Amino acid sequence: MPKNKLPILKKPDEKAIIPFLMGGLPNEELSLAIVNSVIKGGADLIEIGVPYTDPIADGPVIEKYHHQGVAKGLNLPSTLRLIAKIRKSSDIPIALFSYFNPIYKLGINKLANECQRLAIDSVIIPDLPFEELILLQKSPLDLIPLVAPSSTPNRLKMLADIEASFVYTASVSGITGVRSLSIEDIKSYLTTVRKYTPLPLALGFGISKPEQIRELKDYADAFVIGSHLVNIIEANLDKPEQMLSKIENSLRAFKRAAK
Amino acid sequence: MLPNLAGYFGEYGGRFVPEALIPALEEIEKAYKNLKDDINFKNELSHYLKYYVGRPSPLYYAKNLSEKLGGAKIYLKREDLNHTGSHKINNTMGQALLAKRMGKTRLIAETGAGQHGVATATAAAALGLKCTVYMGATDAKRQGLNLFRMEILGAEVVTVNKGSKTLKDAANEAFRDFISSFAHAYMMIGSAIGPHPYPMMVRNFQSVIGYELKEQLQALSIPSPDYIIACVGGGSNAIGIFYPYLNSQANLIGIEAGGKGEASKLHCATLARGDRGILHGALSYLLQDENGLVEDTHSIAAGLDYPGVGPEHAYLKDSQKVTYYNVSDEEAVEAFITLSRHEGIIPALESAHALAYALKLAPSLSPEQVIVINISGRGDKDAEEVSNFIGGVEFA
Repeated sequence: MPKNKLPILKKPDEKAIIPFLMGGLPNEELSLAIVNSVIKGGADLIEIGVPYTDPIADGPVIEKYHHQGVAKGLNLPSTLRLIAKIRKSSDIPIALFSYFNPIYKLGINKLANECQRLAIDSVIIPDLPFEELILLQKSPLDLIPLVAPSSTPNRLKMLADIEASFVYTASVSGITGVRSLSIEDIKSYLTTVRKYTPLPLALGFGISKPEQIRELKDYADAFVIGSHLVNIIEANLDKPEQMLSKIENSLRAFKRAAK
Repeated sequence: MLPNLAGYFGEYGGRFVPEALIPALEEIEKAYKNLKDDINFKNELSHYLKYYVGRPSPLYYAKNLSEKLGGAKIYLKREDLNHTGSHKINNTMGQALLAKRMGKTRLIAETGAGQHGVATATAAAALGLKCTVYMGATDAKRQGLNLFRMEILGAEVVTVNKGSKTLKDAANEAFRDFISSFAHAYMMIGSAIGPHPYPMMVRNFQSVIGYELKEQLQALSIPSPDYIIACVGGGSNAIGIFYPYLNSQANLIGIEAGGKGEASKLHCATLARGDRGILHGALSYLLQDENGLVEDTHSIAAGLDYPGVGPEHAYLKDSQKVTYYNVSDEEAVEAFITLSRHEGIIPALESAHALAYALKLAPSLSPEQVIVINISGRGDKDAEEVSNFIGGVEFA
């Protein structure tokens, strides 16, 4: 499988929008409808999360979502089945987001087969640091490295040994969640990361307003929208139609800001 | 010498944490490496262990119990007599001194039974550091005394109402706090678990138990004990007493919590029933379902109620240097009462697991043989739990 195969991430005048969705929540039907809405709203790649019992890199909003998913019996196989359903109607690029243990339990080779079968483009593992990622470089999986503002020059140098279609740059050293960013700090951080890798940069953790993208679009190649969407979903659980149109509109606003 | 530079004991251990946390672990590893052989640091730690913790802890010959069982001589390593009532303080004093040298101002800890939380809050008070302790809601309820102790010691106790509401989820919360705050805070892991360098560091701080035991047995002209028995949750008291004996003649036995039986799902016999998996930053044995989701566990002893186990124990199991068994809630409570009645020592329910196995083993041995049991903590905290339990079971 050739890596670095997401051309949208290298368009000079248009940035990619990557919505994060938890696979199978709030329920399977709505989950598929939400995928449709983000595609209609202009998503370039969809990050689909696997619910996990111990999501230590996630903040309260997404953590709660993980626990809800686990309580509903959702897991890595159920998420792969959901992706198979998405693939019946869409060939949008998909990145699977999973903590390492479910993948370790399934086996890297088996996951690689599944990814090929379901045309899953990339895999994001939040609890796999560079050393372990480098050990897995021989696998056909497109494993996305994550960096944080706390990453030291010695760590960033290791990006040279990693082949992937993009680098996930967390905008805070902490956990995921909607929070206000110091734009200037993020600019200098992204500029620093650029010095260490030619790969496209996707900025995540804390993007909730189109203005943030407008401010930062010269510094990153893609923007991940996570907790913000979960909040829309949670606030509109009893009004699915409204939920879906809000999600679509929200995506459209982010996408407009990215052009 | 294990672990290797990457923190692996054989194939277990490592560092499976978000990249964002790696610089914090590297900083701790570097500081520990620089200080562990530093004479001033060693002297300072020895001073606290002697005058504050009250070490050496006695090695007590349990004459009544030995005679009652009519087999081997039973010795008790009295970690329950340490300040704060358990072995946990050996590690927290060491790590708190390290944190202070690193210029950190706040300690973050996870706790199950509350013994590690109390030991951390105590070290923080002694060294003038702030302290936040995460405790599962289920544990907070069954260990109310320790909750009170932590608060009176000045710690902020955060009750965790998520997932299993026990040690595992308390540790998740502690990690979350640490990922966001490590510029000024230090995460004080209380067991021989977690990402490298924690399993090594905790083992080294706890190995004072085993080294002392060696000296104490020498003074009794006992060259080597025949058996050393310790309970294993994450495994810090066990690795601490086993470590100096890993290449000796002594049979090393780790006892996990069998809860309501291995066949039920209500246990935490990770080494007996688990398989390879990753939890809290290390590859080890893990109780998980077929899809890699971590399972809920049960033990009457909150300090053993954990689906993982330290990576060095996984290695020691596979390499057969230590043998691991488990005993049930009921056997542990029975042992808890037996030691109280016959020796006037109320052990922690955790330690009572090690004791329960010894009660079964001793009669099959001869009077020349020696069993050492690590009494890792005292049982005051368990009064309510045991009282509830024996409400439904009759003891002879």
